[in-house]
Amino acid sequence: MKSTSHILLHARNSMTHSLRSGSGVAFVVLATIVGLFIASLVFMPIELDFVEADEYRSTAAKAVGFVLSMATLQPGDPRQFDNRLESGDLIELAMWAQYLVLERPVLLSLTVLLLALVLPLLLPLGSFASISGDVQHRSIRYLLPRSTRTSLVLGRLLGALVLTWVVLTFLQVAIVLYLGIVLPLDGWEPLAIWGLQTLGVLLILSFPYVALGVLCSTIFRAPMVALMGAIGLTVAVPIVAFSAWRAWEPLGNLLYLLPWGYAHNLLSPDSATVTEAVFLCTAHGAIFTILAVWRLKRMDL
Amino acid sequence: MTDTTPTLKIEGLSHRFGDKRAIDRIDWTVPHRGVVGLVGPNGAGKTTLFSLIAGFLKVQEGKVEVLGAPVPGHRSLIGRVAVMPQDAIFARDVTILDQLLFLRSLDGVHGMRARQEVEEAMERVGLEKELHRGAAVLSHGMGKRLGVAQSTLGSPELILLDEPTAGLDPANAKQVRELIRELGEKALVIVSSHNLLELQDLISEIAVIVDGSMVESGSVADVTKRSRRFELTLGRTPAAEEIDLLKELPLVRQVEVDQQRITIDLDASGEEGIDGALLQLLSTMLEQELPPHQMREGASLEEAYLRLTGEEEGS
Repeated sequence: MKSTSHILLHARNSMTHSLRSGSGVAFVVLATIVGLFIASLVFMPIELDFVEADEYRSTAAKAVGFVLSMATLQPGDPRQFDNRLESGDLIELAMWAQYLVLERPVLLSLTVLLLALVLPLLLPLGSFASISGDVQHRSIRYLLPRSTRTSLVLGRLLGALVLTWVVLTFLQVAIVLYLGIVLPLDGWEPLAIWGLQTLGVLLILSFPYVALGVLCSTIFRAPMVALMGAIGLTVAVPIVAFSAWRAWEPLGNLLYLLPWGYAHNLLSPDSATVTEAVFLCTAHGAIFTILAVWRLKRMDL
Repeated sequence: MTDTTPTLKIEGLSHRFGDKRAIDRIDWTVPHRGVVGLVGPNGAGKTTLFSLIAGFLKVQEGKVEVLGAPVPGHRSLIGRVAVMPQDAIFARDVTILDQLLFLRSLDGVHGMRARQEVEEAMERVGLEKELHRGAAVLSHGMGKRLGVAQSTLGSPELILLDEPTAGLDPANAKQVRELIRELGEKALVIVSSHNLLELQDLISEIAVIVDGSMVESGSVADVTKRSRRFELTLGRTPAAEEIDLLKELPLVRQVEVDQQRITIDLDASGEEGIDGALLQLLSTMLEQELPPHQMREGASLEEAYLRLTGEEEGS
């Protein structure tokens, strides 16, 4: 009971503390600006009447198909790409892309896809100082006699997660409202349902990356090094995995070090695939959390 | 924890930072309450020992038993140990009130009761006017007092204060010493310092640490009793042979001569104690027709400390 109340107290304290000390504000502002910027990029061609909605959807289907082929490590020859999508080995991906852009509100799907690509780089901003900030200033020494190290990590993680989820929810609500009022390509009902589903996708996807930020915060004593560590790892994993995959195919599995290898499955039309991706995301977050607890419990502070 | 369990029991404790041995096979048992001084020169290992007792550092070798718990930082110690670390700082941008209320909430105390306790603690260290400010506005000395204030919150059974008066002006240092004295009536307070003079009237027990080793521990009376210093004024300047004779006495540790004044350190640890040592010294002096005209006991905790830490020779 005491542990649970300590976790909740640490969560609340870390949220208010990060908002007052500036790092939380920086995260909220940056995530909101980047999120809205991505949305405006997606909306711009329609908003400015550069293309018709149907033409936009067809182009978007190909673009999404390409992204999915990259995510599933099936890039192949770009000149053959259209043929492969229409009748070749990528036909399933083509159907998946059509599900996202034809059966679901296209602008929201594209925005969420891009957010899922960019958010992993932004999310550590909300958690990089959760432990390292206190370690650097040794203020953690005031907390340790009053709380367990496990409660501290779990509380700080929960605080960072809640802050992240609030920001993502705000972003998603703003995007859905804008699409419903200003660019009503789809009705309110499909927009609201898909908005909720994709919000769930973003919330689930954020867990492992926030946990990674907390893990780095326990590994590195300086907050900026923790931030660089989390972002560096997030960027390095897909780059290294793609390079290594070209040399030897099994090395492509390095993508699974982070959710890069399966995150796209969260938007799959197949519910079993989505469930599996949710499980993997949760497991990934849980593993990072356990590692962070293990690390802090063994640390000299 | 039973009544006979000591508040702190350390056995064979050693700690290394890389190649440097910071703590070297320390054994130390401290009773239930009172104020205990942990003294030693700068860099002797006081903060490392505190950090090991508080659970900030992981024990590498040996055993530290705090309040009957098998390891420092054990779940059962939550709220029972308070620490004023030497170099920790409070958040600059969050009000001190909020930070202390948060610490109390971790102890399970909320609302008006917590606020009242925080206000009282801040009053005790003269910082009540700073409650609604962030730690950014505090001077070094005020930060120290804030650290002491937070360690008095709740009802800890063991309080570790690392250099609590370092950098304080005399008035504030006195205020903190009074507070420590009060705390010592309810809990075991271990105070580390490299300045023995300020602890002299405060502590009942002392431990002296030098180069990571505990060279002495026990009650202040015991520690000072083990070496007693006397200053004797003679009727004439003693000859070198007479001094050599005194130096050869088995219970005489050291003799210093300044014309007609001699200072003698006696070993009082024998069965006959100080009386036996004095009797031996005075009878030898009388045999040499060197009667002391005046005799003053000059032994003090400070002198014992200087002898133990080897600073006497250097000074």
